[in-house]
Amino acid sequence: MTVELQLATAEQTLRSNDDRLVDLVDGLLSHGVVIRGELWLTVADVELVFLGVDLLLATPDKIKPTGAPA
Amino acid sequence: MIALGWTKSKRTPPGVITCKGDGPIRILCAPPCSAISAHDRLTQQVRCFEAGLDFLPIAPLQSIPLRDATGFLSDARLSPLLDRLASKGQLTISLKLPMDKRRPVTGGRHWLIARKAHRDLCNEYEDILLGIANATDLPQSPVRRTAEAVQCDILVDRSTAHTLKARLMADLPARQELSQKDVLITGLWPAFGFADLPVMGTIAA
Repeated sequence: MTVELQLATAEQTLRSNDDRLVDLVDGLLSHGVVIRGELWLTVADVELVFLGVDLLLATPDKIKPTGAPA
Repeated sequence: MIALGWTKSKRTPPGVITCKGDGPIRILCAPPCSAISAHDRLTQQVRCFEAGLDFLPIAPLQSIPLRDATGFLSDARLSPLLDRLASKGQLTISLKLPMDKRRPVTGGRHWLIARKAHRDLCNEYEDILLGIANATDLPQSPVRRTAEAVQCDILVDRSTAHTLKARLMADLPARQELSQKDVLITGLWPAFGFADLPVMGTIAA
């Protein structure tokens, strides 16, 4: 029975070109605190369309924190 | 400036990283030129972590300007989560999926059968990985799949991480279900897998 077992520090992982370590880093990149956007399209105070977007396409001035999601 | 995360630490950040703010929670920032790509931001976050700073990391894929991160300082969930992650980091365990040996798809039925076989294989590897994580008796993240592996994170105290690594290195080769498998243990990393805090912004349109 053989187990291929490898140990690497974060620093070694980041500097490596090994496919497995690169794949592992790719898996980490989307984790952590994620700021999500809510886009509401309203007409005459009637909310018609809601879009949840992880990639914000707005100038920073138009974004204001709203706290926890409902 | 690009925000890397929020911190309560009073330590001086390494290199070009600075702490902005004068409240109990401050923002770790990097100059834009040193945080251009997701990989750059991750590298800076790892440097801060290895310098002993505890912080709540922003997902490296997101490039968040300082002014936007400042807006979230009043979020009541930040402080308890920072306390929970104080002095902790994550070990990431990865189990490599075998090379896909499927023959070229010759029809819809063949495609469905091949997909089911691949899904069953991934489920089997996920179960093995969960078995490893459960044996540590430490908090763990949900298993995630990448192109080549299944991975999960284990939250561990900085002071006991070396012991856990040594224990895993000693115990894993004896596990029957890992025969002929490829296991990778990396870290410590900042606790990305446990900083599960979606924060919302509203855009009026």
